[in-house]
Amino acid sequence: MKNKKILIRSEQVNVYYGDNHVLKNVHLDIPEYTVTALIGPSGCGKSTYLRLLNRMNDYILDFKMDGVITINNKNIYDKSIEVEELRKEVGMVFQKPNPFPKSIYDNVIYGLAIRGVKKKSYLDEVVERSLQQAALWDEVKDSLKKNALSLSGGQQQRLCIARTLAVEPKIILMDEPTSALDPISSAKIEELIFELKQNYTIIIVTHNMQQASRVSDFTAFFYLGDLVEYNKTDTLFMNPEHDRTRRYITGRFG
Amino acid sequence: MRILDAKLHEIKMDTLSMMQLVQLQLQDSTELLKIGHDDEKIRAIKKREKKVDKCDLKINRDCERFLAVCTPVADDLRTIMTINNVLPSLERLSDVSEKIAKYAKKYPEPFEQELIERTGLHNLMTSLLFMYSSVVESFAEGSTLKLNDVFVKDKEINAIYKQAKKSIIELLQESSVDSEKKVNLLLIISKLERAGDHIKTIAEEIFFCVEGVFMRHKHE
Repeated sequence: MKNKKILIRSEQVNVYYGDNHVLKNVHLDIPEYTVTALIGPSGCGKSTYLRLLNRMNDYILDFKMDGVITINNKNIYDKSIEVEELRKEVGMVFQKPNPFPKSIYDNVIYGLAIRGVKKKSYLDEVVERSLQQAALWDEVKDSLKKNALSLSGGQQQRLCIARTLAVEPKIILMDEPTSALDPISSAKIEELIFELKQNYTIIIVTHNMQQASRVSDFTAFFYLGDLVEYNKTDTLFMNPEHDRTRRYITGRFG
Repeated sequence: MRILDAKLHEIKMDTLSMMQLVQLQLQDSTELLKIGHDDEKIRAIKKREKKVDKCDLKINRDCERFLAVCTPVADDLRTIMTINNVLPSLERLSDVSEKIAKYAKKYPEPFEQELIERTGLHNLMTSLLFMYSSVVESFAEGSTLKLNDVFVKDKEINAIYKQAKKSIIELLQESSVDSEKKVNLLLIISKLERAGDHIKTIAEEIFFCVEGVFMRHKHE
């Protein structure tokens, strides 16, 4: 873990929504092929930070950001950066599964189709590989033409992960990916996260402390826009450095 | 009080009660070594040993339940891990006391003053009781201030044990009179030395509980 290269570097990042200072001087280095959990109470800035990484905040009214975020040493807020290209590199999975009302197959190839990829044999290959990586292939391989909305919640979320994987991102952002799922489906997603970190760098926002401690290598605790503590997950959950972190993770906040 | 705090407090209080039972075991058994046979003390040690075993099982089960139901983290997790980890040491300390009581029943005569002096038995017992009261107080206070004394005393006990071994060999060479008694004393001293190790283990666990730093094999 020590020798892993830093893939995402955030330096002195401040974010404002109008007068509201929502992220304050955040410095965060995320190594590649790791899972980093972002935790903290609602409104602490963790989702804002997550969305900075694929520039999802750009169109929010009164959004203003300063500081530098680099991915692979490239400033992702540089004018030369194409947001569409960035989002190909940095995929996102949302809280609620959001498949399109299309077939399973069409959902997986969506990102490639809108980029004009048409070669059937290539698309077939991508569908199989992505669904396998998302641990869904065995369940749907005989019904790829079936409407994605007929799948269960857990399957839909794994389909959304497959859709993200199809465009071969380097980074996967997950915004509370299991909060709408039952425990069995959640466990499958957690297993998947564990598998995916071999090939991807994953950043996950979660309110579930046990999930953060189970799936992540590093954990960042945000509070009122401050990054209070960022450490190895084992250390943060066993022996947090800051009293605010300790009170939050032990449920003694407020 | 939150449910988690209430449950953890209850387990901590049960552990303190068990620690106090073990303290009485150590006090009574070392007293037996000084005075020899005492029916009342022997009976009390036997009775307490059963209570200690019961406490061990109950607290162990409560710890497992607490871990499964409350999924603690940070200092809560360290506390419950510490309690679970010190149980075997407490139980073994009580076993040592029971073994000494059994010996006192079989050999009612106390050891001669010369034997006690040459082996350093008196100092060993005093150090052991001091070490133990330090760990109980540290656990109750959630403090590591007194733990350094434990590590220092443990080294002293090890040195006493080494010296006692030499002295008993010399005594055996000097005279074969009471050789069984001399060998028995060496066995008892070796048990007390081991008891010191158990107390040191408890101190290491309490250090981890309070400071979040593993002390095992590191207190040098």
